[in-house]
Amino acid sequence: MQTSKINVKKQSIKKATGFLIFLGIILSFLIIGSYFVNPLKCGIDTTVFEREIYFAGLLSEENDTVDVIILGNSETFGLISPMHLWQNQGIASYIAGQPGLRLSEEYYSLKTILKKQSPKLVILETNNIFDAISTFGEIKYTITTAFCHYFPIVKYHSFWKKYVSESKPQAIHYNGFSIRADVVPYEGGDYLTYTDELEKMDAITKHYLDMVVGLCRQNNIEVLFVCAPSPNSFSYKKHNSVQAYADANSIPFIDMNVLNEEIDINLKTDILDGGEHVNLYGTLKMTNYLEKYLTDNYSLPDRRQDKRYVKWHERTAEFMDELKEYQ
Amino acid sequence: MTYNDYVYFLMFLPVSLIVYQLLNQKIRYISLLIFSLAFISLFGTSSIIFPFVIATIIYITSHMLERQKSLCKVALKQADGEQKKRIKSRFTKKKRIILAFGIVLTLSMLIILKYFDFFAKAINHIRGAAYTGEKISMLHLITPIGISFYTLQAIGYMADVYWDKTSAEKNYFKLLLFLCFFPTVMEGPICSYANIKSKLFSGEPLKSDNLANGSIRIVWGLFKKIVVADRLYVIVTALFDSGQSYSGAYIIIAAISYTIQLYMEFSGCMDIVIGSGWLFGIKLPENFRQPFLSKNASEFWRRWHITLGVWLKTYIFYPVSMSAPVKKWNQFGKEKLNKHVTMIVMSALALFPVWICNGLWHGAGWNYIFYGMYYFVIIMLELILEPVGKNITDTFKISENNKLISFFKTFKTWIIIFIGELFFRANSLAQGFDMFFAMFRDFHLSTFTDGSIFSLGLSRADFLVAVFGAIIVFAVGIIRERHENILEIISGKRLYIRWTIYISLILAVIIFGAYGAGYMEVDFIYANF
Repeated sequence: MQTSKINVKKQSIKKATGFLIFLGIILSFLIIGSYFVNPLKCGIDTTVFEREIYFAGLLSEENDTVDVIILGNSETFGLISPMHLWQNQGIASYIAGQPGLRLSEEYYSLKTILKKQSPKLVILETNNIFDAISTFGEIKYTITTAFCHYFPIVKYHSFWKKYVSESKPQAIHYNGFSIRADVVPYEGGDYLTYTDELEKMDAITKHYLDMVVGLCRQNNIEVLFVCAPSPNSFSYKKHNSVQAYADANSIPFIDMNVLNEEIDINLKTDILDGGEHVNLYGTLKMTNYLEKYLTDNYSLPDRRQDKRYVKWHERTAEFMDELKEYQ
Repeated sequence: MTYNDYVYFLMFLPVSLIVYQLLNQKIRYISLLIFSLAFISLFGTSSIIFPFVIATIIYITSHMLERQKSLCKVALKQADGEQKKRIKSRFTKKKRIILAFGIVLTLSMLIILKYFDFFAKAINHIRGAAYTGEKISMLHLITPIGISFYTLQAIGYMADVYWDKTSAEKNYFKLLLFLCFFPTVMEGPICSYANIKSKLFSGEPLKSDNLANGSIRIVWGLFKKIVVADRLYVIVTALFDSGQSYSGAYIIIAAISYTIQLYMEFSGCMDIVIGSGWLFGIKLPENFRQPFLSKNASEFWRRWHITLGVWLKTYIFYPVSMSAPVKKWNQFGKEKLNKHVTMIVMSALALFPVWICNGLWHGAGWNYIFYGMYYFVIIMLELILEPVGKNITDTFKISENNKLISFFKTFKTWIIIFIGELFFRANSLAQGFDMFFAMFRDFHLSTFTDGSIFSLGLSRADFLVAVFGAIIVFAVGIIRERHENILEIISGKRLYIRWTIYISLILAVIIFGAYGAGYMEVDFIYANF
């Protein structure tokens, strides 16, 4: 009886050990595979998802050359023109936003960025703070994002396609800014209905917002909240919530929705898609405003004479050439 | 959260296994019940109400039936001869009324939730524009997850108690668990209470063999679903839902793609479900047995959605076959008519309600009813022509096992299956017919080879993966046909071979799965039934 109990115990230990070794082999494959197939690390552009091209573009820049990074969802794409900042002030900025980016993903994106860049300022576009789906959905999204961050092979598992398919050409962009000059006016009337109520921030979103701000502060990076004009998304409740958070954390907050006098966004001519995003003309107005704000409030170096930025001058020249068609 | 969601197999299942194992054996079934209710509540908290209501109905009905049985036994002890016959008849009548009442109450929920709008629309349509009275309004009710499956299980349970195949369950919560056990609640298999109760409630401790085999079965199911089925979904939606009309070879591609998608997805789901049950040591019935090796439509339905076929056979076909009118016909046929004709008519009488129910069960739509009737007609034709086929093979002395004949029969069955699935998938009966007749228009064989298939939204790379994946699944199916238990064969191999197979399968799912960026999340088709 004693012997059989010992045998059963030995069998159990053997099986448990076998299971752990099996799991270890799978994990090893995941780790090794992640090392070799991460297109962001290996610069394998053709496997970068369309959604990540600006983020991937930033990661392919030379280390420690970007001083201002803009993060957020698709609202970042029209927030500012980095090439204007470069040409006028020598500020090295880059838009690394992604459509539908949630705060958990923003946190892991920033972690990845900070392995290669040491920015002085991170501008967080705040429209994604209120994009939370259900609690279960947010938890699931967060777990997926974290897992994909540590095991990129799960995210980029379709890497093998580049060996059997033709690669699609990547969209042209200038430090994360693509010229989008379509005009679809906002027809919804006055959207700035005042209230002093607050929009509830989802707990998981807030947690990751704290993590993003915390990560910046750990790395001595200043944080600036900016909200791009978006008549379809804006509400005073959201504005008040973000303002309250910003005040509590000593973060400056520029909500362009409420700065009409200063920025003068024309809802007929400066809107790209009926009320969600601004177009090129709106971006140029916001760039003027932000350029002045950044130079007045931050000591950002002028990098125009730095030899590492030769490609930036070339890029700016191309951009300004292309811009002529729209002006 | 569905069965192919990582939250299910990497979080929900492990947590439920740990909690199950930590509890005392006698109350382990309660943990299964709690996890099952939690699983259902993820689809909407109101979804939990329905299993409770149906469990209450069948609990009361089964106990009333048991009471009548006991009273009948007592009465019979005190009776003699003719009296016994009368007593039996009286109690049988009472039991029938109780059973009928229980079935009507149980079915009525399903009918109202799933079919009300369909019948209301049909009645309004029949009345026509000339009808001046008030039209029946649509209720737009949402069908709660799994109701089609556990309603059949509930009816089967009540019938089994009536037929003395099982005794009434005294524990309400065990009945509730039988109805809403989380692996089976969404897509079946449709279980019989008598066959599953011992394992479901026994609370046996977890065993390493069950954990290993169950896990591999789950991974195999994921392979079918997310490597093959979800890729074919792209082609299927392009051909059925895009609004563009296709013709010729495209329709054949549509029918074949959908059939394979449906098989991969449904059988893949069954692998995940059966694997999930296996983890707990609960052996659920198989629902598929290499259906594409069938030689005729009847055989196909003995290999496809097996538990639905068994349910329809047990609770509709046999009762109708044994009913008084059919027995009367049988008697009449034996005396006055030819044996074959008698059998044909008897089969038609019993099969017609089976196929109406099969069609309607799948959905409230004319294309589903047509689907049921399509198989009714095909199976009847097969029965009618069986003697003709036998005559031909006997005349030309062709063996039953002749490979060419076998291939011909299998190929003919594939055509029957593909056409059936074309109507099944069509968004309406009208679309089904349009697509069927369009097959004969603008037909070009070159469509299969000139790359036209890649204009449907699926890249060449994804198409190749789907094809290779399907070939692997069918190859495994052929092996299973010869050796029932393929996992046993693998278990007998050396450790490095076993682990190579298991690790390759897991990595294949991770690397070739159609999930994440660039792919759409695809709902389970049968979860909508």
